[in-house]
Amino acid sequence: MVKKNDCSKFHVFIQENQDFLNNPVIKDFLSNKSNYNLLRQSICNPTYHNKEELDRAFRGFYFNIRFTAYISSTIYYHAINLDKKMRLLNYRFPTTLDQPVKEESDISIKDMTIYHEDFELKSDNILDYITDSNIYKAVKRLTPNQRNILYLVYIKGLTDSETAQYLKKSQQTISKSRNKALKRIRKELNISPENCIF
Amino acid sequence: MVETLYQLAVKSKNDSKAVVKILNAFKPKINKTLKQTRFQYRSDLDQELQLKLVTIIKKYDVEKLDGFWEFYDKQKNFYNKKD
Repeated sequence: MVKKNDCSKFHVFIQENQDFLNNPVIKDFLSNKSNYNLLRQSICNPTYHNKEELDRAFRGFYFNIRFTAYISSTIYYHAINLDKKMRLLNYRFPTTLDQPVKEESDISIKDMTIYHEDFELKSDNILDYITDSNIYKAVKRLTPNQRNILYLVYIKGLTDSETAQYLKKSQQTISKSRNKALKRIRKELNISPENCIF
Repeated sequence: MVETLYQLAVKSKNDSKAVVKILNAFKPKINKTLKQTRFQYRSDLDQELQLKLVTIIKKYDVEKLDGFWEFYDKQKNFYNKKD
């Protein structure tokens, strides 16, 4: 039986295969002590059993890398493809609301879904829209600027960037002060953010 | 003992529980991917992705993977070609 330390074959192998040993996969595989010993074993005593052991360890290790990479990239690309597909379908088949409900009918889906309000509140002060007294108090405590932003975003339905354009400020400023205002309202009403819908 | 991914993949060919275990292992990755799409489509996408994973897990040929010495030979060829 050859002693572990003076196995010359192994040293020769190491010397001759620097490129191979620097391969990231192999490097990582051999950084595990027991794998390293398996390699040494199978070079010094190249029995079928030793080779098989090394192969088995390597397969398990290599499989993990390949399989994880394969699954991850599949998830990534498949998601992109599906997203593209959905967007394409939405583009090709937009929801049409102004077609007649039935043939020879005057009413379209649009007419049925629109809610005709006979009374419309017209005010540019957000306080006029609030019916709940607690929320009214909370909103009243905000700065006029914050109230204005809330009005534009939630009553007028503008996006943050549209509001920013309108007020000649940056979008970051708007979303910051909007969130700050909401936070203050929440605090005022004693609602934790998790139980809150806005 | 916790089964390795390799054992699960070998089993997955005729054991649907193993497939579910692999799916669960990759769930965080799926969830992360879902964030890139709009909220309305997330559960649709989730379902589609899981479906796709089931097919590719079942199709994945575990036997085809190189052993250590096969890998060694391939790498050797690769370096020789480069020189």
